[in-house]
Amino acid sequence: MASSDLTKIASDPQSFPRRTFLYLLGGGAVLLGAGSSLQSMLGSSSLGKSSGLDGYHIYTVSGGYPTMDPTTYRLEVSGALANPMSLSLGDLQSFGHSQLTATFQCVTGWQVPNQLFSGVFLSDLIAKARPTSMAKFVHFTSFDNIYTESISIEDVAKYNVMVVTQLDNMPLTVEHGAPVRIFMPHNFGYKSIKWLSKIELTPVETQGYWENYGYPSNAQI
Amino acid sequence: MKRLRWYERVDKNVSKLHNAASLLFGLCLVSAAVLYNSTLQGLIGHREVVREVHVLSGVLSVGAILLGFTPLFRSSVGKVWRLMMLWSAEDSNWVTQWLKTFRRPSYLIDGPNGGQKIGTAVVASSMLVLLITGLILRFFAYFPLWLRVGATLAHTLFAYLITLFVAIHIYYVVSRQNQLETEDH
Repeated sequence: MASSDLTKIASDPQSFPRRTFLYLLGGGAVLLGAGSSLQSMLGSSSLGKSSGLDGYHIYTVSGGYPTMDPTTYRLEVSGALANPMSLSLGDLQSFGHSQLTATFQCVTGWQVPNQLFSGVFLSDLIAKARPTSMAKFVHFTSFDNIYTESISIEDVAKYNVMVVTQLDNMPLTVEHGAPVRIFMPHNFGYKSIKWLSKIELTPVETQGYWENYGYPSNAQI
Repeated sequence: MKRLRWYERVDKNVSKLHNAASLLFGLCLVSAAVLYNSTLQGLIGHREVVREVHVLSGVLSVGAILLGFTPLFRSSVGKVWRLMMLWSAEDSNWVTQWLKTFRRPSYLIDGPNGGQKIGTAVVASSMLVLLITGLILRFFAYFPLWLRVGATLAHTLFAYLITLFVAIHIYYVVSRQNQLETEDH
């Protein structure tokens, strides 16, 4: 700020700190109202990432990132079905290699567009397990034994829910839920459980980890 | 006899409230770092607990300051606020000199300087914006997605701003303390 500007401010005493305060409050209100438009404009630029709107905000609900050796990993598929399965990572990959490009959208507003998820569609996996008429919901459990989620069986096929092993053609990292996670393109991110170890088909819905903390069980974007 | 600093002469309660709010806000900043940084998140985890610590410490730090405006504390903060909002040619000179060298002018002012006044305005507005946007993000289910997007943006940018000003403030507090200790010897 040039000293001439400050002289002007000084000629109007009592105003400068108060104006700074009020202008900044106004700036906050503008950002609040125009956030969505700015998010589209900033996109995945570095400004978008540093603004907190674009880019993953990684979290874990246990005391650190849970880890699992991919060579000993097993995915248990059980519950109301005729053909329960215990699948290694190799078994899972032998079911096929489907891909899906979608936006990962957090419930708090940040997003990561154009994410390429690879793995097996959950509907294909469930079809191989031959669900009984009792199967109405799918319940997921993480191998941290804390994080759980669920979805109706109707929504599984309707919205291309995926059992993910790769993100952007690379094996999942531990932060993203290695070796296997779920991705639900129609739902906010908290439904896409990480570090998946168990899929159980049930007749009734079981509240997931975040729902027990007040998050809505209907997380549709 | 030790001469009281200007804010202690206005009201000693201000110092107590400032220290309480500072401790709470420090906790708020540390928990924010754990929520925001994936490496720290991997070390600490327990996102739900950290989030509650962050929200609670943030709300209480603003609450501690607002408490100072109430009759309970005889409007201690109100007196300082009015003083901080006054602007004079002396404040302009102080800020001009600071901007030229990024060093505090050597002369002493018996009261808040221009930098402290601007800092107060920035920190106060930032804390209000952070409180409002933080509550939107905490109770997101009651707000539409477009407002949550705006709240995330405003919360992040104002967090950067307040962190910058708090860091500058702490730097000057520490360097001033060192200066006083040197003078004592």
